[in-house]
Amino acid sequence: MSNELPPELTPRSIPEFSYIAPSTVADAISLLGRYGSKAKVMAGGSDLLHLMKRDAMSEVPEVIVDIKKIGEMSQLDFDPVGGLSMGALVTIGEVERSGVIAEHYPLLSQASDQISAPQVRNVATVGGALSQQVWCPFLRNALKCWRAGGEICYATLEGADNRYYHSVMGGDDCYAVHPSDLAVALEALGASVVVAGPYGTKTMRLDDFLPGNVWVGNLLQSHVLLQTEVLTAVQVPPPASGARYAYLKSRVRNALDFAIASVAVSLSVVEGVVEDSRVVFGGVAPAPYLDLGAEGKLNGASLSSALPEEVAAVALAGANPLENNGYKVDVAKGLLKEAILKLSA
Amino acid sequence: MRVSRRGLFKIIIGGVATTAAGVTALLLGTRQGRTTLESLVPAALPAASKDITMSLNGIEVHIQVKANRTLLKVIREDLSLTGTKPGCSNGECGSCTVLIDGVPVYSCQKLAVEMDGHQVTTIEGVGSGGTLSALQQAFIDEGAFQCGYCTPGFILSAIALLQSNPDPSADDVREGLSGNICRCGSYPHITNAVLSAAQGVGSE
Amino acid sequence: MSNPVVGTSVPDVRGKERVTGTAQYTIDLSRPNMLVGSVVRSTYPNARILSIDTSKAESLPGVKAVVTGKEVPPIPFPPFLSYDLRVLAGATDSYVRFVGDEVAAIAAETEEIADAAAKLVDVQYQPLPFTLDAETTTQPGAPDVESSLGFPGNVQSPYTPLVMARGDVDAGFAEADLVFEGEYQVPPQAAASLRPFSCLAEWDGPNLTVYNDSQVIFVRQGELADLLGIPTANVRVVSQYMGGGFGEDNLYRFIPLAAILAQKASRPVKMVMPQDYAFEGSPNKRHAASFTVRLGAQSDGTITAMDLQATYDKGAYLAGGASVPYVGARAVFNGYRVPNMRYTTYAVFTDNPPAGAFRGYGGVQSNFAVQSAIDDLAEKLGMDPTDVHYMNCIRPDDVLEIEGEPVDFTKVGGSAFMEAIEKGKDATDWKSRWGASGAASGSGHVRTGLGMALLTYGFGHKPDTANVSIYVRPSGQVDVMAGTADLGGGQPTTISMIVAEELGARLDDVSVSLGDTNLPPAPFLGTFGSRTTFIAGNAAKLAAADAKQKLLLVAAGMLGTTPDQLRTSGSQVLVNGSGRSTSFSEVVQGLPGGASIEGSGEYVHTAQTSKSGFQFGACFAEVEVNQWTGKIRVKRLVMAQDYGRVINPRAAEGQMQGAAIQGLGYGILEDYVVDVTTAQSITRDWLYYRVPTIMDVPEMVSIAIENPDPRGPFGAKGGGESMIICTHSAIRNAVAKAIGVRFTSLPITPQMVLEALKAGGGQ
Repeated sequence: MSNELPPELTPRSIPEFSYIAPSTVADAISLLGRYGSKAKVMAGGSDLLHLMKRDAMSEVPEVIVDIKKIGEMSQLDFDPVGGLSMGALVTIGEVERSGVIAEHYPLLSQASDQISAPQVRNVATVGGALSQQVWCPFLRNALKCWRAGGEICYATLEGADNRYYHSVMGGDDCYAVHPSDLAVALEALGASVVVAGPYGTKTMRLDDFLPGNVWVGNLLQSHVLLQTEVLTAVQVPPPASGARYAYLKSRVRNALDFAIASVAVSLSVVEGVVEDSRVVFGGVAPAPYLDLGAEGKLNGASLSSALPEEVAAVALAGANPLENNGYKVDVAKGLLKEAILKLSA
Repeated sequence: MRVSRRGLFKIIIGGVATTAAGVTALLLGTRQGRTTLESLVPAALPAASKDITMSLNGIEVHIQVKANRTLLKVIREDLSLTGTKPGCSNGECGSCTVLIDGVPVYSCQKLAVEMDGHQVTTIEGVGSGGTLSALQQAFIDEGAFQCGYCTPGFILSAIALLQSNPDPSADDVREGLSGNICRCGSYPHITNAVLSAAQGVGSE
Repeated sequence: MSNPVVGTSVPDVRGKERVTGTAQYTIDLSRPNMLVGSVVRSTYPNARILSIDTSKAESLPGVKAVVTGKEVPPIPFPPFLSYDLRVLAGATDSYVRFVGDEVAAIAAETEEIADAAAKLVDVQYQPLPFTLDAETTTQPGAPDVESSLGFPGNVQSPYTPLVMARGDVDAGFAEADLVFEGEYQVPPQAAASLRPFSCLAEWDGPNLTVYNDSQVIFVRQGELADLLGIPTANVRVVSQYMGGGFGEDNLYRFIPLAAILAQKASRPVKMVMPQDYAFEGSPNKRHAASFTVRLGAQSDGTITAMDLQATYDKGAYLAGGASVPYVGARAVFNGYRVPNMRYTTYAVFTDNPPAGAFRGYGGVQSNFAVQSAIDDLAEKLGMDPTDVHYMNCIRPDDVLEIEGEPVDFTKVGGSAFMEAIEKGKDATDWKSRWGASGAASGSGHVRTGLGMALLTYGFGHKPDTANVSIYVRPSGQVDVMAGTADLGGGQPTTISMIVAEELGARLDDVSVSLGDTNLPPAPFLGTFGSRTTFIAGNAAKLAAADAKQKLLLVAAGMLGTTPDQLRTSGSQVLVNGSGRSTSFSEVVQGLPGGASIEGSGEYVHTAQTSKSGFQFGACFAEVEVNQWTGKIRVKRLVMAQDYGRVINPRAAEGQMQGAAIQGLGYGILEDYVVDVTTAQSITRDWLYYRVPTIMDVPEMVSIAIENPDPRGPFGAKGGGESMIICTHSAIRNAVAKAIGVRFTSLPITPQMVLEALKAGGGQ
């Protein structure tokens, strides 16, 4: 009999690799093209190094292309007409501390300071937040599931602990939730992303960039980036005037943890009536979950003490929880109610 | 125990019981094909080591490092500065916190090669010439440690906190230190120490 | 006396080293020519080893030594606390019994080579059926965990069932107006100290020195000597600074493996275990346990009978013996004056990673069962739980039969339960607020609750002996030699203070050397079980008294008077009724040839004393429960504990807070999970295993009670384990008051709260 389980519990050493740090997007693209699937982009590194240390990748990179020297990707610009443009290398810490963002996009400020730890926010980038790998504990403990080159999802086996990190809105091979709070907030703001490749650049909506489970070549990813592409910027339209925003996150501890569920809500209210709304949930699906049913209930509704319950009742319609995570639906609905209450005050 | 385990006697023979097929497939390697061009024309790889120059506690250091070595390992093993501690080594506990360009970062999650051109501050760079800084003294006075293993990491985080917010509230202190774990549970005394240092000198 | 030291908040005497990063923990040590070790560990929970091929590992350049079970002594290790662990699988038989069981060890030039070599060791396993379920493991047909090591049926027998009893429970139940029965369960808890487990072993001819973070250096010294077949005097164990020490470092195989590799390679070997070892490694977790509690009570709240059955899950090995269940039983008897009590414990085996010693062992578990049951009983009776505890807890002047012997509580400083309850109620304004708890606060869907639990436990478990030597030097420095550990509980500071006070020396003149088996054992068994202040402190006090007596004798000669006319203070010898004085250093310099004055003290902690160390206290918790999200927030903890005599108030407060925070973690945050399919823990790091962060800490009020224990140094008793015993129970009871759901297992998660509320629980 041979060993089918991983040969070791937790590797310590990071495998050897080559390292190069280009200073332009064009150079980065060229390097990715030259080294093909041997190469991986590194920005802040907090996700990539964790994956490498935990043997959670199907292909261990032999070349790391460090993009942090690309100055054009580090800019944060706002103007009232064009909106916000954040280079993909803008750190979460910069978003958290930005006065411009606090003034015009408070949803991003609220989301960003609830992410991980200060030390992580200081290096983790906006681009990295969107394109990070899922934080399923099976994957991150070296079990070879779909995302690591295997053909199994451990979280959906009978008796598996899928209480925290897995979807209540279904999955496709993989059931892990997308972990990023920033993605949820950006989705609620109607963000788009700019992607650069050998062809030049293209812009796409964030929800097209982050469909959840998608096979790109032989890798199951949450995002659509090809191996030869680099996410270079995130753009957010100018804010709707008079809109109110809330980003609420519920987690076990009061710091560090991913969301059991989170919600980004924006409401445009005129004379007590909701004219427009966005409701996006995090922690419940393989990608930020835009809840059209909840928005539909909100739009045109008068603020009232009954409204939160009415909206929550139609939220996450069609939820399809796993064996142990149905309660996430209640947490998400609870946060939605709290958000609406907060924004009705 | 919330997850039911009653009567689950599993046998692992030929792989995980319910997924024998999946694991066999893994062993055989059922991946989609790769592009052929790359495999026909292998490209010379960039270097696996790099010469870097960084400012470490105010001193310029030139060192050649392998790309896969973390800043934490290089500080401790190549430069013999053992004050920065490896805890979880996975960016989850804060014991290895150093300042990079004044900003707290988990040194176990940074490659040494990334430090080229940057300033790094470790616990050895705190205080001067044997004299404790006001913050270090406050930690002692307030009993802000028990085993002390997390202490260097907390001090570096607190330095950055006080630098950006010289007059923090208790809540500000807790949020600023939320990325540092203390398993001994010295948190209340740590908060007192940082507040006390803030009231004293003001900043480091 | 002037300038008292005991009772003042003295800063840690080794604080400077900690805040500057100059303290050398084991992981910081290195030696020239040192090799680095790695260990091959099983990823199967139960398997027979068919073959191990180390040839590829051995031929990897840079590999200097490889050992498998065939090359290590074929005896159980460690022999002291365990009967069935051994240094490597294959040494005594060919099984691996848990994920992480050690199979082979390697020493190489670098960590990278050692890790690469570990991957090259080819172990062929025949996987066997395994069980992770303590409830079904003893049933016929369950997979066999331990029969090949002498425990058929997966039950730890004959060590258990262990029965502790007093009176006649059947008669007691007959007298009751109401019989309440409840079942309770608690999970494992990982100590999860941040520092990686590590050691450095080096040989110098026949002499072995081992550096490791250890609370039990003298025991370790004996274990290593026995294992390696060398005289104890040839083994030295050093532990200067420990990165956390909650009992979890007491049974590690990587330490003798490093010694064996170092011998084979003739070079020092440093072994650092990977970070998951804190979760998936050798015995170092709190035992999971399940309980059935029956209480018989009269309608006025008097409990007439208490009958508990406990099952502790030892995991795959016996390591730690029956100590944990025994201590758990005693913890209950140490709390209540109920005349008829019976506590029956079983320990069973499963293929879970082995459980061991973690702060408050045995008692944390039984506390949850008893404190929850009494709270549940109070609700059934329509009574305030503090009244039920007050009526049934041990009173200051009680004489009770415990383990067949009468215990007179007036001789141990009295019991402080009633005082702790009263003080806790005052500090929480319980009388006016408890009844109102549960009522909605703020937005209506968040409910508050007040709850409490008693801290019932012992200290100084196991007979032991401590020896301390003191040297008063010509310089005036007072050197204290005490082979205890400094695990952060302020042990060297406490000992310095006791010596300074007893001797009459300036605290700054006192220096403690510790953590080395070259020093006198203080105490021999080690620094755990809340014993150091009591046992080592007593020895230190005796040594100081001895040194003082000798000092005064010499001083009397110099001053032309008699010792009874002299007193000491601030490192001075003073003549009563006159202005004359001389310093300690002058006295010692008066001795010929640069000699020092030596004092020694030995304190024998008898079996009787070890069974009559009691901790008394209470924890009161205030929580908020969000009924929409299931989130529990602990708002405030009021903790009252009897220290006998508080040696160092700030240090004692730090211990109480730290222990309470660990208890809070156990109650609502920490959740150790073993995946049922792979038997691997999916919570084996500090992200998935949620230890409390600074943001999880509530407002905390610490109340120190002082009823001196006449047997302790200055009346001090043990107290380091403290609030970890009962904080989780207090939180559970507060949640019960907030939402009317009486949880019977931990941790209380948002899922449990929401599902219970949905199922109709609550108000």
